[in-house]
Formats: sequence, structure tokens, C-alpha cells
Amino acid sequence: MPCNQAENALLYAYGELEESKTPAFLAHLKECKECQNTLHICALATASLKPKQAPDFVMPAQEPVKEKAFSFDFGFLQGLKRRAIPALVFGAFALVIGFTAFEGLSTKKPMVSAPQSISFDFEDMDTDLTDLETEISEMFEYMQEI
Amino acid sequence: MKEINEQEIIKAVKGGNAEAFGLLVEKYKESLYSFILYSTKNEAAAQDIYQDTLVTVLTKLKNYREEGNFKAWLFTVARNKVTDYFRANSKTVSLPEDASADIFPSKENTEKEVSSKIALDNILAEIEALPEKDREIILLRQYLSFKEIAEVLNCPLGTALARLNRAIKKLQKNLGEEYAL
Repeated sequence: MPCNQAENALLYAYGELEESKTPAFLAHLKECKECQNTLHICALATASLKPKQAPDFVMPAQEPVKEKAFSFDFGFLQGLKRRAIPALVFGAFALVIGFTAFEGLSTKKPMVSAPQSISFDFEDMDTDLTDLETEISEMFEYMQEI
Repeated sequence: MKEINEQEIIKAVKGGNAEAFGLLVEKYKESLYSFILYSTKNEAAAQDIYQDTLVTVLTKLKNYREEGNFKAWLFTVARNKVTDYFRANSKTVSLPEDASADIFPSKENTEKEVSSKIALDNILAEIEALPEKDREIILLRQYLSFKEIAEVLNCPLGTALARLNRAIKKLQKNLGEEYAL
């Protein structure tokens, strides 16, 4: 059965066990072979992982600082881009559908037929006008008489 | 040597003083490079990742929250770079024998050393042979506190402790009775 003080053993091994818990753990450690081995392996691991000398860090060349005459944060476009691309694709698709529908409709027979052209019989019209003139002149004469 | 006030240095770097960054590098360079080297087991790759980690940290420092733990953040960046390295080289990197040859002394040389040195080399070889997750937690504990490890791994402190306990038990089992008390 694993020891219930295993985590305290690790904390103690790396110097992180609370002072208040240390005496009780040390009393347990005297009797517990498992915790003794945990401490032993932790110590061996630390001893074997010797620190290595780091190479020199090469500072990246700095870009010349430009005068800030005008600055505008285009950061909001990042979020917009995510929504704009699907919207543009959808818009283009809708345009194609719309255009196709329009083309289809314009080549079909119109549902309502165009009105028939109206023709006038000008000879009859002349006759009618002569009658009208006669009537007007008669009326005029009558008025004069009155 | 006077203790370096880390927050003051970070403020200076964020204010445009890139040279102050050298002080931060000086403080953590050995632990950071050791962690990367033991993780990758490849000196050339470790040097590239070390350089890359520090450039990333320098670039992103302006977005760093000053109340955070800088060391934990530094190691998080390094850990992510190591993960990227393994992901990118998963089909080409052969581990561990050939890659570790440039870090560990050859067998012939080791035999000339004292027995304790041999023992430590054997332990290191066993750590290297552990599964990645177990090796990682053992390495992280050499350079970070449990609280910092929990931050790097984004897990509760108890989980970090449980993971290390498992890794230590595996290492003990692999080392055998010879290394037991």
C-alpha cells in the first residue's frame, strides 16, 4: 500500500514543506522506507542534473524607432476579418443566385401580355369633327340671336 | 551582489530599455538553458530554442502583466518551444542514444571517473529514458517551485505533486535495487 505521506516527502525533499508539518513528517520518515527512498532518488536526480553553461544571448538588431506622426490601431480589423470573409463569400453567392434568377426571368414569356396597340380611324374622326364644327357654329348663331 | 529588483528591470525593459533585459537573462540563463538542453537532448537544438525563447520573451514583454510570476512565464515560453521542436521533428529526431552522445560523457571516459560519477551518469541516463511527461516534471522541479510548476503546466498544485511522485517512483523502479536504500 502506498504511503500517504508521499507528497509531504516530495515537499520536504525540495525544501517546500511547511515548518509546522516538518516535525511530524520527520517522525514518520524514521519509520518509512518508501519516503526514505523518495528523498534518496530526488537527491540523486538533482545531483545528476548538473547545471549547464548557457551560450551568450545575441540581442536581436533593433529597428529604428519611427516618429509617431500619426498612428491608428487597426487591431479591430483582426476580429472583423474573421466575420468579413464568410460574409463576403455569402454575399458573392447571393449575387450569383440573384443574377441567375434575373436572367431566367428576363428570358421567359411575360406573365401579363402587353396591351394591344390602338388604331384610330382618322376618316371617321374627320367626319366627327365636321359635325362638331357645324354644331358649334349653329350654337354660336343661336346665341347671337338671343 | 545586490539583489536585482526584477519588477524594476521588467518596467525598464517595457519602457524601451532593451539593455536591461540582459540583467534578466543573466539571472535565469543557466537554469533556462539547462532545462532546454536536458529536455531536447540536443545541444544545437537547445541553443536555437534558448535564443528563440529569449527573443520571444523580449518581444512579448510589453504584454506581460507585472503582477505575474516572470520565471514561470519564461519557462512556459521555453516549454512551448521545446514542444514545438518535438512536434516539428517527430519524424526525424532519433532519441535517445545518438542525440544524447554530445551531452553525456562517453562510456570509455566514464570508466576512468570515480564510481559516484558513474552512478550519477547512470541516473541521468535513466531520467533521459523516462517518458516525456515524467522527464519533464523532474526537470521542471530542478528549476521551479511546485507553485511555479503548477502555473507552467496550468494545473492544480496537487496534480503537479502527484505527477512528480509518479515520475520518481518510475525512476526508482528503473534504477533498481542497486540505487535503493
